[in-house]
Amino acid sequence: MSKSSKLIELRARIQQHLSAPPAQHRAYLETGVPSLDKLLAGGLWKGGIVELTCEAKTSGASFLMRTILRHAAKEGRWSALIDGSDSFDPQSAGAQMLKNLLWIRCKKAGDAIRSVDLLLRDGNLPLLFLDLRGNPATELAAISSSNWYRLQRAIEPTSVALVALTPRPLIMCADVRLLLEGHFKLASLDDEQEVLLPQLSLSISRKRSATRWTEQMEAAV
Amino acid sequence: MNLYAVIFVPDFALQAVLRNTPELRAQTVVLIAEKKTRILQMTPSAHAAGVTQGMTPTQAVARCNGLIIKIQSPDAERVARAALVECACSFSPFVEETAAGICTLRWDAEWPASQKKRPLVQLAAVHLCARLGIAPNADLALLAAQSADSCREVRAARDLAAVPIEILALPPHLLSVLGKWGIHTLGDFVALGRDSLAERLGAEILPFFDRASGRIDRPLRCIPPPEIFEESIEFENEIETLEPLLFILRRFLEQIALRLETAWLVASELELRLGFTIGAFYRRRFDIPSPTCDVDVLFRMLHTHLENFRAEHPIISLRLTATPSRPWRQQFGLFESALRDPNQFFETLARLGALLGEGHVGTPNLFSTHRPDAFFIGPVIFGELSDRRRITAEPSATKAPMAGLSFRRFRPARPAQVLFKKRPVFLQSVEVSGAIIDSFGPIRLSGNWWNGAPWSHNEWDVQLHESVLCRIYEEDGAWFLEGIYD
Repeated sequence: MSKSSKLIELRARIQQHLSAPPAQHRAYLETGVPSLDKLLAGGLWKGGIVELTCEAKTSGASFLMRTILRHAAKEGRWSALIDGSDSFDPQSAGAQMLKNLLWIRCKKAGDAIRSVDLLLRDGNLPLLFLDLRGNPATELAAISSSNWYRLQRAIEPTSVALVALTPRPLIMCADVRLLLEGHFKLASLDDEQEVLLPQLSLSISRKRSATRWTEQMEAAV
Repeated sequence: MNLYAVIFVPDFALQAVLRNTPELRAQTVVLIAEKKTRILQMTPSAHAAGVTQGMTPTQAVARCNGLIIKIQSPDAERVARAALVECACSFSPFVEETAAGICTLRWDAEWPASQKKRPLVQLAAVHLCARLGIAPNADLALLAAQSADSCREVRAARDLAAVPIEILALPPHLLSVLGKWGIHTLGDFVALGRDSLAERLGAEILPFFDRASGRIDRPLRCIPPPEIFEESIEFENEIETLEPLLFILRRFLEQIALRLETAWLVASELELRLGFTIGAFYRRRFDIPSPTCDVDVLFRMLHTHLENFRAEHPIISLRLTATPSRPWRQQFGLFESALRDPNQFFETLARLGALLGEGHVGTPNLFSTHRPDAFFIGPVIFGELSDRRRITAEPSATKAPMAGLSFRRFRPARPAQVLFKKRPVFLQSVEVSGAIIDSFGPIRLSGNWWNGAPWSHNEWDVQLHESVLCRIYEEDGAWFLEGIYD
């Protein structure tokens, strides 16, 4: 028996006798976007981080965020937008969404991470959006992975859902990483929400699960 | 039968000054007036050391080495009077502030004897040492309180017969005459009779006789319950660091919380006022989203703010005022998402404000204008108040249903170079560059030409390669990249 197969068998035995914690039954926060709720099997995970990677400058991410925030406002829920580069435009958002929105205007990615940390430890707001798409690559590179793990540990015991909008994959510990693509033309600026939503292309790039570590070990061996 | 009680605080001015340093009560301390230099009041230790009223400080120090001299403080007296009145109001709705340090109130005759000392216990908690007198009328009750060690109840004037006549505070010439007559006690004084005293000493003696005999059952001049709970101090030394300020603030909060709880109230607002050596003041109002008496919650609110507070001059005075309100009784609806912990949330907002600065944390509100990027950051308001108090000014253009993509704005707008041939054909900027394959415009916007702050620019929505949609505008001949549609 080769060394690698012995290791796999050993890990399987450990898992059998000292089983990993069962997959948690998570509560979900509906987004109001049917395709996204279906993709996430219910909605945004409470106590989890969803990373929405948008590599194109016009991908529809802000439109998607606006739709989710409007749905939350309609449901009477308060949300927070931690704006890493102070790029949110209230005039295009609409008063309906604004009245239930806490807007945190940051100039640097580091301040945005600290703000998220404070809000996670507060735990009063059920939905947080962290927008880092406008921050320079140097600032994003300066955010160490330990910061993200700390946020992940902070959010786990709460019922807060955090959606992080990033220009490239950044958060290794995110529960789900979604890739958003959208191809829009100038005429799309006049289209209604119902027409625009189907044009968003969402796909799961990576998903964390209870047996993730076993799969990664097997892949490494 | 109606009963009256008088809460009497002896040496009130001195006790008011020593409230914030109660450990000095056991030491030799004297009080002098602000401008005059005679000793007004003293602690028992100072009296025992030979210091008397009317001495100069020099004489007093000569009698007692290590004497501590305090200056009379009108602010401290005002706060102490408020504390005394609050205490009295918690025992009776009919309270009269007879004089500084003296409160007269209607007393419930049904109260058991064990409850009589409760006012004194409450005042001791706010560092005021008082005495209580109970009698059928206000004048006798005052005499009973002044002659008591702690608490004294009398049923008639004859119960005070043995009390020295000096308690009436007669003018010196009348006291001298009575002394020569051998009248040394209230009993002897009253026994002379009203008419004979008036005949010999004139009408001047009659008010004192009426008080000593309890002849007149005067009505109380009742005061409404106080609504402001305040603590203040003038520092003897200038304060330049945060720690001593926080120490005093914590003490103030404990006192205010105790006084609020006594009146079954909570704090809905705090106002902090700092006085500087140059005479200027700093004021800050703290709204407490969930009114409370919790000292830790209130202290954290002040601490968070003061951690980032910087002053150019030392601090010489401090005042903390709490606005009282009834405790909230709120039933949340089944489908409402109310805040789990409002005070914790607003403390988080304060921390975020301290991290990011003013105007960077809050709810965006739109101005009623078509000017781009016209908004202001307002406070976060939860609950039913949000509909009444929120200032929502929505320009008519955005009242239409939300259509189209959202807009991500660059603040400030990025300078751009645009090659323009009847319409923009190429865009060069830090954020995006490339040939413009489609465009829409110009959209001419202008405003405020009527009030001296005019603005105008021409906007274009453009599409670059790779489906990048953005907005550019021209203003005074220069081009800017305003943002990206996303």
